[in-house]
Amino acid sequence: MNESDPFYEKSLQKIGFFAAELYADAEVPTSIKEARDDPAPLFHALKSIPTRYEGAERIGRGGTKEIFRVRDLRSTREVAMAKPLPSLGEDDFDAFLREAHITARLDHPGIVKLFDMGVDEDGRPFFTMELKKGRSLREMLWEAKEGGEFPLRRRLSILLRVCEAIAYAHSRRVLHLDLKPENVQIGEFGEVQVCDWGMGVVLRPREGELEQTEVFLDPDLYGPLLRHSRGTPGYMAPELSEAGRPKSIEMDVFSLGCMLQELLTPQAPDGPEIPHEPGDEVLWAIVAKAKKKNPARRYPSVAGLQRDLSRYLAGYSTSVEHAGFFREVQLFYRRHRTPCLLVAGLLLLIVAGTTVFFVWLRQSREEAIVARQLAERSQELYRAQKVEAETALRNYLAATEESDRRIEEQARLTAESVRLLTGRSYYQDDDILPKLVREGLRRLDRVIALDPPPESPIWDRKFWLLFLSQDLKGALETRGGKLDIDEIRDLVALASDYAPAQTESGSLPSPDFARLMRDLAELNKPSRSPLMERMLIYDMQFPRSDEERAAILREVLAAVNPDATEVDLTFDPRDRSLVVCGAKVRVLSLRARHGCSDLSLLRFLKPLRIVLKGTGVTDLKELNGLQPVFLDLRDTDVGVLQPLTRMPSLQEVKLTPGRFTEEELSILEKRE
Amino acid sequence: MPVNPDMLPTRYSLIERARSHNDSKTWEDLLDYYESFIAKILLRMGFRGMDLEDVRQQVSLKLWQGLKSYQRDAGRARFRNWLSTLIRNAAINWINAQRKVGREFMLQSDEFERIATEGPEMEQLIEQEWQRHVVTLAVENLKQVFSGKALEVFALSLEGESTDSIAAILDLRKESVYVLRTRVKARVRQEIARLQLELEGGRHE
Repeated sequence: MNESDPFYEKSLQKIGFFAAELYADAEVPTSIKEARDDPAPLFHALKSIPTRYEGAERIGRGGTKEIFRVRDLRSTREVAMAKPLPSLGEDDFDAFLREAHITARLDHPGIVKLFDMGVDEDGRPFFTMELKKGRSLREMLWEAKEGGEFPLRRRLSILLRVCEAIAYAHSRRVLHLDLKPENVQIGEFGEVQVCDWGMGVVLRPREGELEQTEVFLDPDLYGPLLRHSRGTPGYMAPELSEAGRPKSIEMDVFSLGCMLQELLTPQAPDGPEIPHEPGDEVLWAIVAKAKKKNPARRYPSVAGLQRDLSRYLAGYSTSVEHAGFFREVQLFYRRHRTPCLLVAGLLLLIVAGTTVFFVWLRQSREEAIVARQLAERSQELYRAQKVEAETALRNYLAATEESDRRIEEQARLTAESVRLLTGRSYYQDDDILPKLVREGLRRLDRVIALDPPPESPIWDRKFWLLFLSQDLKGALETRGGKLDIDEIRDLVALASDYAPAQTESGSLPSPDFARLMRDLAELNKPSRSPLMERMLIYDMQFPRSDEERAAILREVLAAVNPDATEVDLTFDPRDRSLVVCGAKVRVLSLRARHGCSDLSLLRFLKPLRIVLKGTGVTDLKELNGLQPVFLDLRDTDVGVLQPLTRMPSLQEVKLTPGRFTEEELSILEKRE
Repeated sequence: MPVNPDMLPTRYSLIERARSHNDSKTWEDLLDYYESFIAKILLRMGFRGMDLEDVRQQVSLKLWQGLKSYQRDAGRARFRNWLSTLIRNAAINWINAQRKVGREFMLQSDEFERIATEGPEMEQLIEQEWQRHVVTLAVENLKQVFSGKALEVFALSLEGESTDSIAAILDLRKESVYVLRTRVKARVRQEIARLQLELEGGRHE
């Protein structure tokens, strides 16, 4: 039953928010007394009472408790003592004591009496009850099966006593919820008592204040009483197993119907079905009404069941005595013939008159009954519909929750796969990136159509991809424009600045794009470098002139060489020659940054002739991925020529005379 | 007033029992408590799939070795600190080992950077997760004792709801709310303290 409690997950989450405080609070050492403060008040209140019982002979054992015969030294009599099973611990003690508290509320000859509650020397609770010599109804039924005598009338009168006791308990707002022949004791002199109120609950009052103990007995406040105790399958009302359903009088009525059924047949009932057995139709009709699947169609109170049973019993008894009465009348008539005839004539007259009256009375009463039945039926219908609607709503909510969970998971996985898709390891070739971006957006949109929750990582992924493809207006509309996400706060600010410049074709004008690249580099966040590189790659598919691309590259080089005071770059598209100037221009690639390729930034201009004369370039790896035919490296601090061997197109290299030895230069020859 | 022997301060913690008897069953029980926590942390760090499994085993091994030699008298606050440093170092060692042999792994470089550079924050995050883990375990253990409604009373009172408004929200009487709030609070606190003793090897002084 725990698992289906809708409050657990919710509360657990809420409590989780305060984990740090709760954790710290528990760390503060407490005196043991303080820790004992309140965990089981019913139990602790009883602890101080001294013991007064002697001897213990076990006479019974249930799912949660053992019963012993003990001697009460104070009142010098034998009593029955109940103790929790040795396997139960302190967490279960209050549940155990609830039975005693419930029994204590009830004072009726048909209900076993509670004498005392206490705590024994081992610190375990117990309670004592009156000890009756006798047998349970179950034992009597067994004996009857073996051929013992147990007439129907006697059985029914026992059930009638049970009904009286339960009707009384209901008037005290106590439900038994585990009625069965085992829990009905028949004393030596025929007294009938209902026992074992361990599953019982106290219903909430309609109005008025509660006594203190009632707070502890309220069924709303505790978990499953004891995890080992369950109702008895054949006797349990079907709705009793529905989690969250309030306990009701109709549940006990159902069990009483089961008991009547077992009294009529030798078999114990094993479900809500009613077997077709020969026997008195009236009694089977009573069983059927008490065991209706829909609680609203059962007897609304035990009193109704009781009344029908009494009526049946009364009819039964008169029919038995009928013969004797007739004989008496015959004898009387024979003795007083004349006065009898006179009286008979008068009686005939009276009967004729009253018959007319009664026919009239019956007509009007039948009309009233029909009207009442109509009203009752519509009320039943209303209740049934309400239950149905509630069930449907519950099912709908459960289904929605499950699909929400799946969508959330799907969104998370998609965001993760899209992140990998545009990650470094997936594209070796610049040309593939736009395809990957489009594929990523397509996947994201497919999940977004499922309406994932706002906290899903899918939103900042989508924003990131749109930003990458320069669709800044689109990016700002992600998640309905609610972009209060920490991870992309800086990018949202940039997107807002540049979005107004976005053109119809979807890209930014070159000067704006160049400034955006510089701004991105100046954010000085390692995680933004991969974005910058990918934007430059993606930008290649927009139509820009070589001059514009050169201008963009100039800004990028200025940004990645923050120490350089002078950065200049000229490009002549006629022979695709590129001249880079600036004594402190040392970096031509993003290879030192995490998540970036090791290719040169110059690749975006596809230069054939490259002049780096007088620049700060020291490492030729800065030219990775380029295929020039001419390279001027004069007046640079380039030390290792090895990378040039990876440029098969290279035809001419200019070096500072005398800077390299013959041996160093020989690797260039090997290339040819 | 008799006291439940389970609560006495002289009681051995799970760690101490495992160590003093060197009993492999007790060790396994103990590690079970940490396993799910470690997996959660590594997931937060960005590990996935086979890599996660791989790192998790490394961390478990380190934890096993560490717990055997961990000095309890260092105090509980230190334990959390010790645990988070251990997990973070094991993760970094694993990543470095993968890099050395040039193996590709699923972790994004951004995230590695976070693990490597944002050390103190990462450890703080692990510590917070640990606290949350212990509190969650405690509440789950109490499912048998209290109904969800009872726990909800407590949750709402943590959120600062008044007795009156809790009674209104959950359709309970005020007296019930008052009694429940006190009882659940005391019991949750007791259970967290018990888990701290069991899992961190600290003592009630």
